[in-house]
Amino acid sequence: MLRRALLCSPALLLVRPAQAQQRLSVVASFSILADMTRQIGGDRITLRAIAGPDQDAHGFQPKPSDAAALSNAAVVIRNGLGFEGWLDRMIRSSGFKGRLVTTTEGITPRIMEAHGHDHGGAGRRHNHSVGPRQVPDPHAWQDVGLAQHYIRNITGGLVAADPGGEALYRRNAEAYAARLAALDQWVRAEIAKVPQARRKIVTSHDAFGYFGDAYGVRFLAPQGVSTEAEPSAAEVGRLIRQIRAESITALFLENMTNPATLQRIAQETGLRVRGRLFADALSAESGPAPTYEAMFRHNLSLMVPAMRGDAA
Amino acid sequence: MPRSFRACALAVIASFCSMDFAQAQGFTPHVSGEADLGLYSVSTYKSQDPARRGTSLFLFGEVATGFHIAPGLSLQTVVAFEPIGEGDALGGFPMDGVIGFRRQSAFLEVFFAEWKPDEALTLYGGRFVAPFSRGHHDFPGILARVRAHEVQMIGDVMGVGGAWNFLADPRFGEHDISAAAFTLDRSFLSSTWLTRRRCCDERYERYNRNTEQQGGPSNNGQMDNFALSLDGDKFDFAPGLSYQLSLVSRAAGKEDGTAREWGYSGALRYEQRWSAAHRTLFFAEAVQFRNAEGRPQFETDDGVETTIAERRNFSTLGAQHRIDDWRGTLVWQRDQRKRSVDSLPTENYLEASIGRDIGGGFGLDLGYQYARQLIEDTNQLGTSHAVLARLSWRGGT
Repeated sequence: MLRRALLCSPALLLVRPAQAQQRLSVVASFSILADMTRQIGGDRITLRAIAGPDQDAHGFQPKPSDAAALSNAAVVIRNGLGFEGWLDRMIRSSGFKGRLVTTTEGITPRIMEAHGHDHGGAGRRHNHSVGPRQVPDPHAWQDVGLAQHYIRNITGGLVAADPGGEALYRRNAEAYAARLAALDQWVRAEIAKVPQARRKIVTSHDAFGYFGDAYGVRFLAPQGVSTEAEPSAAEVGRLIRQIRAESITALFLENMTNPATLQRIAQETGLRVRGRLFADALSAESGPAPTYEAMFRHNLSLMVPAMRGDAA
Repeated sequence: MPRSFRACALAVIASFCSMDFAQAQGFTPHVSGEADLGLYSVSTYKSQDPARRGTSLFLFGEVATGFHIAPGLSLQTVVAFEPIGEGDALGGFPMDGVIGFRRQSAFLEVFFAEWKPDEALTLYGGRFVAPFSRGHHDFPGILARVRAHEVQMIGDVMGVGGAWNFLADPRFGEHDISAAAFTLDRSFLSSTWLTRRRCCDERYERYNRNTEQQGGPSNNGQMDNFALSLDGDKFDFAPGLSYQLSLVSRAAGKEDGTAREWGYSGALRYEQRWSAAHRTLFFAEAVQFRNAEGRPQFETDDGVETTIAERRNFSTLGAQHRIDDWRGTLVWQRDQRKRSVDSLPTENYLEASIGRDIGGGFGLDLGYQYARQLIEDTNQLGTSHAVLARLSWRGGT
């Protein structure tokens, strides 16, 4: 018996690295996509999020190690719709030969207002032209219903890159889709607790358009689609007047935006910032929103009482 | 200009043919616009050149629009406002008085079709500003940009061009290469508007649309003029650093000029962010034109026919510190014109200003300028001291 065990042990040693090699190398552009991919890929994949927890993926500056990870990846998961322009440029330069998965494929994006180009500053010169006023809103994950597209696209990408894991990926995806369907219902039930007229929220940047469309909440933001853009004094003044006129009580910061503008609005309107919403990035593991599902539960736990005007 | 028109038209048609309109999900054609306008006041209270003493008011800036026909496809226009006196960008000589909008003009600086087949590539055709140097578009300060606009901007050109983001590496940064082939625009688009011509004043060269007789570099009806530019930023080792290197080459004009003009420019910018509210931008740019203006023919006072070989060096060095809505700027500019005949002294300008955004898109800047510049009547250098003011407005839809 002992001899058999001893004979088997070198074989086990050989098997382990072989299994490790079989794990699919996946890179996700930011933390929310990384979490979705982890739920589907499980232990069969090795996963790296380029823009990690609490990191802003809008104007992200990747590191050399990110480019190295990208060039070695079998699958890259991106959101698309212009959200991670830096990733698209890096993919071209890194020699990435794997499978590129665009999670918003199949989604008809909502259109949102864009901000103009900046004059001056330290950035490199760009062609002098005025960009479109309407751009696709990239924050489609803010509608849990649309997350089903994300699941479908991620699963398709993993299966195509690693057909041997198809059964696992599809099983995980099915379970995850069911959980998200339940989450979608829960979000609707929570929002229903708020009188329709009070469903208004002011937050740092315009990331909750899909959430608003799906669940009937109106979001107002001094910053546009990108957290890089800074609102003008006129835009902030207009928002302050609107908050007063419509008696809005829900004022929130986001986890990776500059708080200065929201703090100024809070001062001038006498409102209290009701907490920190997670829009474009998850929190660290120890924080309140380490997963996509936890992010919704955390955000709703702040939004609902704030909209109702409950004392915190 | 039929050849360049044909080239532009073909570029536009090719753009349309290549568009995948099926991808235009939810997109509706629309117009977007931006304005960057400034009302300038230059009050020269002390000068060795009596013609410069006094106050000049003028409008300088632009209104830009983009007609977005489909995702990635647009028609771009820029209407520019500036005084158009040749050799003097500040609206003329006040002669101890106050002059307002004396050489004021408005003209179509840009009118081109732009196609972005993907995020890395931009192609365009029409009337544009050549991709040469950068300060004429975005120098901080009050008059630095106005002067650069006059000296180093290569406008009034018609042709085709493109820009390509050829490298985006986390360590070595993002880099674009831009190229354009063009000729001087002699079409009706090159006319200036609003300007009332004063009798017999030779400074109004840009009053009417360009003509062949006007001469000057690239005024030959051929697409044998080109500009090339390399721009980069986002370096891992210096995140606030950007650079530009560019080259322009313009053939001799048909009616005037005897040699090809070459221009070279190099620009560096570095922004140090001290905190969320405090940041300092350092900027430097050097431009050189060899055979400036195409080595034009010239008749000396003795009646001898010759050509003016000129090497023009225009340099800018400055820093701007911003604290929230406040800004303080210090800029030095130097304009050196080394000529074979009809020599001109080197001019120097030092400007210090402070300003702030005052709400509603408006900004107010006040400054002081010390200048060593040409005294028109004597061709000698003189000093002048001026108080500068600018009320600016920026907006967009």
